[in-house]
Amino acid sequence: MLTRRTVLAGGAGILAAGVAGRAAFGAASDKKLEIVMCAKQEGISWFDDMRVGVNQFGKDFGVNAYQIAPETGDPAKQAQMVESLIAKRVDAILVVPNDPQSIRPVLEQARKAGITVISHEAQSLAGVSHFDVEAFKNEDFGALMFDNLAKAMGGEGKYAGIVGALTMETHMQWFKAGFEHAKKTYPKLEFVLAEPIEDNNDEKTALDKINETLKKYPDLKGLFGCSVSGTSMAALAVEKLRRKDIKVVGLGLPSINGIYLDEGSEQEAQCWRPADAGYVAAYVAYKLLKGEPIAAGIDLKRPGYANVTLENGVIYGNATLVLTKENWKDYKF
Amino acid sequence: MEPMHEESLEPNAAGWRSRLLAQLTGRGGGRGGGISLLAGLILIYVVMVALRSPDFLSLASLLDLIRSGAAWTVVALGVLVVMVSGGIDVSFLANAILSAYVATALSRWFGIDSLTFALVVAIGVGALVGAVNGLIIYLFSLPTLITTLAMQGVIQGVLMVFLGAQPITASRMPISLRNFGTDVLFEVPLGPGYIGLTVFVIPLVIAAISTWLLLNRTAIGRATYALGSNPTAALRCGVNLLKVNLVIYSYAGALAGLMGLMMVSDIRLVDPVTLVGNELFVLAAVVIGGAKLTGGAGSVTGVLLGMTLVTLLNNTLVTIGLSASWNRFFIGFALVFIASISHYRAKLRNLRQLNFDNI
Amino acid sequence: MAELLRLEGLSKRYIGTQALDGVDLAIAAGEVLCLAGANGSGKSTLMKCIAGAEAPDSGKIIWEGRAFNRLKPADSMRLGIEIIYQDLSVFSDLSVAENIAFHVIQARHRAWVDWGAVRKVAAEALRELGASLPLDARLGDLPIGARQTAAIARALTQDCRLLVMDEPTTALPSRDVARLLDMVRRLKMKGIAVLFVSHKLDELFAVADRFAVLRDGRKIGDYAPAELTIERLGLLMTGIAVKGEKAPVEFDVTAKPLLSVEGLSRGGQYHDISFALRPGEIIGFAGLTGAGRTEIALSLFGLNPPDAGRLALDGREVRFGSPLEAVKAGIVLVSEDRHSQGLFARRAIRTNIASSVYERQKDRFGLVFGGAERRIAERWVERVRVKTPSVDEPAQSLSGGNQQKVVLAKWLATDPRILILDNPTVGIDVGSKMEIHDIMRELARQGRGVIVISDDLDELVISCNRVFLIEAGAIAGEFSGPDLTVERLSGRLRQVV
Repeated sequence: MLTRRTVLAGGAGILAAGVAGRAAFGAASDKKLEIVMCAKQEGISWFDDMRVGVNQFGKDFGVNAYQIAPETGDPAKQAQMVESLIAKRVDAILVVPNDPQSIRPVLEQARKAGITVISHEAQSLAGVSHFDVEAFKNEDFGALMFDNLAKAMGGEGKYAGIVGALTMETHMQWFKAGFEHAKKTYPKLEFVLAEPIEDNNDEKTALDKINETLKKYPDLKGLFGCSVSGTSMAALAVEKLRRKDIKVVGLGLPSINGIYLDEGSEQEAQCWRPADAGYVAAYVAYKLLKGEPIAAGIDLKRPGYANVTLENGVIYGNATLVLTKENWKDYKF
Repeated sequence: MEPMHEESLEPNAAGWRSRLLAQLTGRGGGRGGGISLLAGLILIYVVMVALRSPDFLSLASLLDLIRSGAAWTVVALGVLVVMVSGGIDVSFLANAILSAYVATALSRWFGIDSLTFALVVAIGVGALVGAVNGLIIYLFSLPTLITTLAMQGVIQGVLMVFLGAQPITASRMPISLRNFGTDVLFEVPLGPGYIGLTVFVIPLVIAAISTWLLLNRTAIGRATYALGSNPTAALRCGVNLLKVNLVIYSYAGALAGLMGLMMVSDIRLVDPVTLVGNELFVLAAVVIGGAKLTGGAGSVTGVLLGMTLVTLLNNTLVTIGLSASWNRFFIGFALVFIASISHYRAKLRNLRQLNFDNI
Repeated sequence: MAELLRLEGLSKRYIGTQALDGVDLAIAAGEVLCLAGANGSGKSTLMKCIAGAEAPDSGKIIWEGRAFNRLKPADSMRLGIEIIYQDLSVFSDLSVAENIAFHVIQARHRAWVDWGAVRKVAAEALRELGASLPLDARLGDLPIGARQTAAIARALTQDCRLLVMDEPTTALPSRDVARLLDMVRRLKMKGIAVLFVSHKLDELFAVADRFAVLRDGRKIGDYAPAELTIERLGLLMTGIAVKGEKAPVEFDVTAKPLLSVEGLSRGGQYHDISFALRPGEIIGFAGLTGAGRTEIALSLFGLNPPDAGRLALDGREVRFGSPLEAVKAGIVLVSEDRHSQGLFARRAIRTNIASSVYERQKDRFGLVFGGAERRIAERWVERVRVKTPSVDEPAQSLSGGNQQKVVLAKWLATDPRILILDNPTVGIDVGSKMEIHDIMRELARQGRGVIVISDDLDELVISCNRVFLIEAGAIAGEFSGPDLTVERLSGRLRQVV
């Protein structure tokens, strides 16, 4: 479940740093620009989808854009791959780091070598990379999750929820923003726990904890999950206990949560589309290479990235993808 | 002829402390010893939870406990057999997920949607991996920890690199496996819904009975205890080390395979990176149940109780309103408590024989 | 009697030593043969050749007329040779019945265990030995004598024709020895040959048909028990004449006591123990294993704290919370089991000896350097006459007697005022035993106090000024001067049994 970790890694906080735009490079070159995405791992549907976006960008803009990744999610191997890209003198490196801290020196090296660097899901690398690209602001994502929960529950009733761990910053940002939003907007919603339960991103733990919660609070009407494991296991628990009256929303993927959306044990799943993120990252790099300005409000040509915001070197889209019974089959990750 | 040693068989009368502890710990029982202590500990904990949350004492709690603990218990029974022999296996969870992965993948590959087929494949792959463990340990006289640790790495490597394993999600799992995870023998109402007795109870009971039979009713089982108790003496007595190793490691592997299939059916997801990392949790339950790291001791009842305690500790934190980190604290505490008691018991026993080795 | 096993010209050489040098030996069915020899005489090697664990370099092993160049372990088992090693090879975690009938359980054609049959076989074997043990008890919970009985019974379940017992009496309390001998008589009546391999043979005179003595890998000769005495046997084994006479050190009986003990008691172990130990005095504790001797010693050493009573050192009352405090006050205990307590077997001799005095080796920076360790060790190796080429050798390379001297040296290095020795000469050869007695006397001459616990009455009579008989946790008698003889002590002990 790489995607879970993907989401977690993004939460390390923002290290602000000034970002200098880069002057046009090799303007007269007849050679195609080479833009390479170094993803976390091969063989994961999430990154297979991202590759679709990167390749699409290559076609659309007539550049040599492609994706590589280590066989396993090994940070050291990924750093090596980036080093070999530097040696190859590619024009731009896009990276979704397995471990932002360990790849930092390699990215600094790439910058020194004059290579354009764009990161994704690594706000802490903004400033090291030219820009970090994020699909949304965590606060918006959390508020949307609770809006959807309230909608599914008809605006009232008891609910509980699950996060990876109380120490996971991204999950807690979603939860806190959503919870505050719900308190103001939906006064009839009642959160029964003192704090969300934790599943350590493990399905078995999630399933056991949710079962226990449902046993302790039989009158529960809603569950949210900030982890993919939490959301999918909440849906499974609801199905096993034949409690379709309980509404489930939260972070989810088409490949994992789709079946629960179909069966009606989960009402909606939200995430972002890796293909679009890959496309946008490549586009930002392309713009920098062409010497075009990057500023708030520009259109990066993908759904949700038409009017991006820019804060401290991080480009935020508004690209939350809400999956429902009707639309999830359109996505392949 | 006067009877031998009769008077010396009775322990010397010791202080009240020793007597109390001897009572508590089931004096003189290598096999029954500590069981009553563990049962007492479980009872005390249940009462404590019930005081805090009276609803806890319900059939629903019991049914949920069984569903949650069944798969872990099955694999723990295999670990028990290895630990009785004086070995230790840390490859069992890697083996479990490999077996489950292969079983699910083959079911998809051949388009066979049959629980029986998946069970045969998972148990077969598990037993095969276990046999390799046993063979390597025998051939190279390697420490079991090193061998099985290496095996854990190899299995993960095979899964990730050679098979390029991707998670098999619920929608792509055979229907029979999905049903295996949700089917129940009977149901009782819980809130507006129902909670049932999972069908996992069937493999659980079969595994418990077969492990009991293996350990207590077969020559190999007794040779396993003998090996754990005194390996040199066992070999002198002509115990066939290769045979015993092959049988116990394959058996542990087979149960790991079964456990893997139960686990993926329970959570409806075959993810190559899950499970591995929980080995110590299982080992802790087996040790709490009375097995010794040095071998020669441990029982099926002990494992059932040990796993009951550990599962209880895992699945009552929300009920008593504590965060997940308390789980580790409780399990650690139980482990230290049980280990100290059994050490004290051994000391008492040695004192009675005037052996002052571990004062 | 029909000859069962004959060894002809058996030789075996290891690097550096000729373990066996042309040994001839024969044993007949129903015969009890004692193979005597000091440590390193080659008796273990001989036993391994019979067991099939070692192949001789030359010579023949002839079993009922069939000659073998060597036996394999499986051959040896098939022929009916059963070996009971010193460690007894029993399974502490299994029940008595299962230990005895282990081979029945493991018989090749049976997959399932018939517990009824197991109990029957075990009960039958015990009956043949005239012994009774609780069949369902965990063997590890029973005393050593019971474990030995189980080991012998196990041999019986296997159609044993020749039973080889390695050091059978070394660790056995004296009252269990009588029972062992009785079992041996029964085996003999059944026509089973018994080969005792031991260096502690005095108990075996009563039952042996013949003694064979090994020294330095050669057989010195065969002897009938009638022509042997303990002294003669000792001389044959070691080539050294054993001084068996009493030779206690004189001391000043009016001196102020070093240690006085008054009314010392501990629930369930011993009660109302009072005595005084004066400088230069050697006091012995005789009694059965389990009578409370070791427990008293442990209490004096700061282990096993007493419930009541007073302990005074030089007239000042003391109370030890730990052995460390006792050592600081000048009391040391050399325990019976040197392997588990006194000795770091794999470490060098110098490390072993110096380990008790690391404080003293510290230089002014509080660091310990090897030089001091070596100096201390070499001095003590010299003084207690440890036979070793160098203090760098690991302790486990030494013979039992020399290991015991290393343990002694380790404690002597702390310059103790009172030494408590618990069975100091168990399992060591006659020569080393005498040397340890000499060391004890030398310590007394230096004005130290010594307490010896021993099952070896000779040892007590030879070296002690006074001997207390400990019985059921109390001092039941005191022997000194002309009263202190082996006859009187053993007479009194027999009453107890």
